[in-house]
Amino acid sequence: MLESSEFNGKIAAFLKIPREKVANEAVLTDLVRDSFALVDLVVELQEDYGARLTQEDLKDVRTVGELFAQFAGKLKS
Amino acid sequence: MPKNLKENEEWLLSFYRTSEISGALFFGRLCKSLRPGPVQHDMSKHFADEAQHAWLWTDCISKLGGNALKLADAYQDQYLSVAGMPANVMEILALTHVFEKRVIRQYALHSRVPDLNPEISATLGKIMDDEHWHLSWVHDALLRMQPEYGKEYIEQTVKRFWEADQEVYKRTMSEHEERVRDLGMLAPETKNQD
Repeated sequence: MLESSEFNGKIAAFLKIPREKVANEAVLTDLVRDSFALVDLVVELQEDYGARLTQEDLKDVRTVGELFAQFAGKLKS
Repeated sequence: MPKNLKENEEWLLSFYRTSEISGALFFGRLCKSLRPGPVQHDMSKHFADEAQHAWLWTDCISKLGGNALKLADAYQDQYLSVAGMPANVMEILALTHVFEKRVIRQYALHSRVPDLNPEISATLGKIMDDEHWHLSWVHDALLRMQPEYGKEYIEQTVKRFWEADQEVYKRTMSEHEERVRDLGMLAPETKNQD
């Protein structure tokens, strides 16, 4: 089962930012340098977890916690 | 060295250069995230090509006595604001397919400008072969992705980014109409989206 602490740790490691910045409430666009870095992060997580997200899945995702929920849902189904 | 380049040409070649740099950096970063396989393989060549093209434009501008201008945004940066973020590798390739078609159309249009400087013509010629290969590998990769993503989803995504490209192109042409007119490059827009 996917754990949010592990998930958030992966984000911190990928973006090379302190782990404490990646809280569930953190807004994703505040964590990345530009939109392409966000695309890159989402692809990295999909490749890592072997999950596939669509634009529909991501359309209301703003925070780290909301992104985690999408991945957790995909990996459960 | 005397400057053998109009101000608007210097800007346009710098615009191409900026776009090639952005492409190289984006695909280079993305390549680090991909699992080993054919997409990773071809994308590695793709970003190497884009980096080489950035060099070719830099060199071309320099040989014509100009300076590559530092421009903030690349053409493709605008896709995200118009069409939304690509959500997965297939969507990125769909966007790339649309963008590569735009690049080929733009470079072909530029090649037909009357009395084009031979240095620019030669640079366009060197780059065009690679651009055709980019379109071809992305097309093949999208076909191979059909069992995983579904034909309909892939086609819808290409359509979404194609519509975004129409919007971005219109916006870009309108923003830089004077420059483009000065260079004799006002293009009839194509309706082909396949």
